[in-house]
Amino acid sequence: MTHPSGGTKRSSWLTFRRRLLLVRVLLRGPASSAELIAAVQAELGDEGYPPAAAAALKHDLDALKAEYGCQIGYQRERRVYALADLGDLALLDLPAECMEALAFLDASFPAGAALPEQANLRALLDRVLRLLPSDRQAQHQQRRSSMRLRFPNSGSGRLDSTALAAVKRAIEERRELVFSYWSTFDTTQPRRHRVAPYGLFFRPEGHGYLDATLLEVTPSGTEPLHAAIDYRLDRIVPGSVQVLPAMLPPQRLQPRAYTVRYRLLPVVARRRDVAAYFPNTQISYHADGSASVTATVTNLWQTRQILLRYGDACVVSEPPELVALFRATARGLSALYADSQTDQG
Amino acid sequence: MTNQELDHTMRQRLLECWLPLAQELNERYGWGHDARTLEALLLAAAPALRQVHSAVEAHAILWYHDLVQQARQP
Repeated sequence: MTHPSGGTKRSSWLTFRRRLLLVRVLLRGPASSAELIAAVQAELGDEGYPPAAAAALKHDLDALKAEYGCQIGYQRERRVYALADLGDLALLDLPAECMEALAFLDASFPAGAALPEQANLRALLDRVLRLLPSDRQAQHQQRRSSMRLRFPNSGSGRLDSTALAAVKRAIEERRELVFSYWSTFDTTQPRRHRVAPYGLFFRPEGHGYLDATLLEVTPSGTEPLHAAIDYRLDRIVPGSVQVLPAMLPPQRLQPRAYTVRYRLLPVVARRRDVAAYFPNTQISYHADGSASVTATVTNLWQTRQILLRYGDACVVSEPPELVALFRATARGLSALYADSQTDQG
Repeated sequence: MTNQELDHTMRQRLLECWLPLAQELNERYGWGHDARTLEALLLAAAPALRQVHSAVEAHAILWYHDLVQQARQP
């Protein structure tokens, strides 16, 4: 049995390393001869390609095709090499659970998705899928998941990125924040709100909100000071956001909390699958198919918005402030639809 | 801030802010969580939810925590 000399072993190792490097570069995207040679020289220096680099590169690419079954094509119009298939160099293999997760993500982020933030995810998935051996790729195609994430619309408005960065900085540094804001009631001009900001969150319809405690608003309106308010991010006026030097207190000011109590009629409760939309939700089902629900809330405005989804199948009994909000809504709806009825009559 | 450090007000607001979205996903994907387990899911996800920049991220985080919670069930 003979052993290769040290020089031969080193030469073989360098060749293998060079070819793997070419594959790595091509995995990033199509590349020209010059780019491939430059990548090799940058990584291997004096041990890279000899002066006749173009011929050596072609020899490496031919070897990758012949020895490892790589499919590397030359795109004449762009004068670049492109890797179509890794062949035997597809070294990524995954356990069944991960293949299932990959199928789920693949189904959730299809090619051509509208949301721009999904484009990079799709590109990442394509790269990962290309790293799988061909039999695993075939398996993946067969198990394309029927389960998928469904994303909401991103909302009608977008917040200026500078303003969003300032909001996030204030939250992280626990500092007061001031901005101009168009609330639902502001029809002619926005008002200035100084707040203690605590976090961002998103609602099912896709809008982003700032959870903050109101410290001051000018001109003053109906908002009670120290209330916890959900500020819709796209209603904050771009260019108006300022992080203030004042630090937030160690403990958040406690907004007034209400026990909310409502009854759901059998038409929405008889299947005994009433949803929990509020903290500390307790549900009691009754023999007639109705349900009584209690929960704790701090934002009565939002509570009303959420409970309105039940239409006239929900009767709120506590707190009186929420009952008053519903009465006002009912009066408004009555006025609107009484007119409609007359019109239609 | 860890979940243990969440004071009463922060816990109340965290749940109040995120429960509508969590409940929407609960119904949409048939997770079958009741009020108590949905709150537990949100409290477990709280550190990650504090970092989100988009609704897409929030969905992914809640979906992941549902998987974790389902896996921990006997």
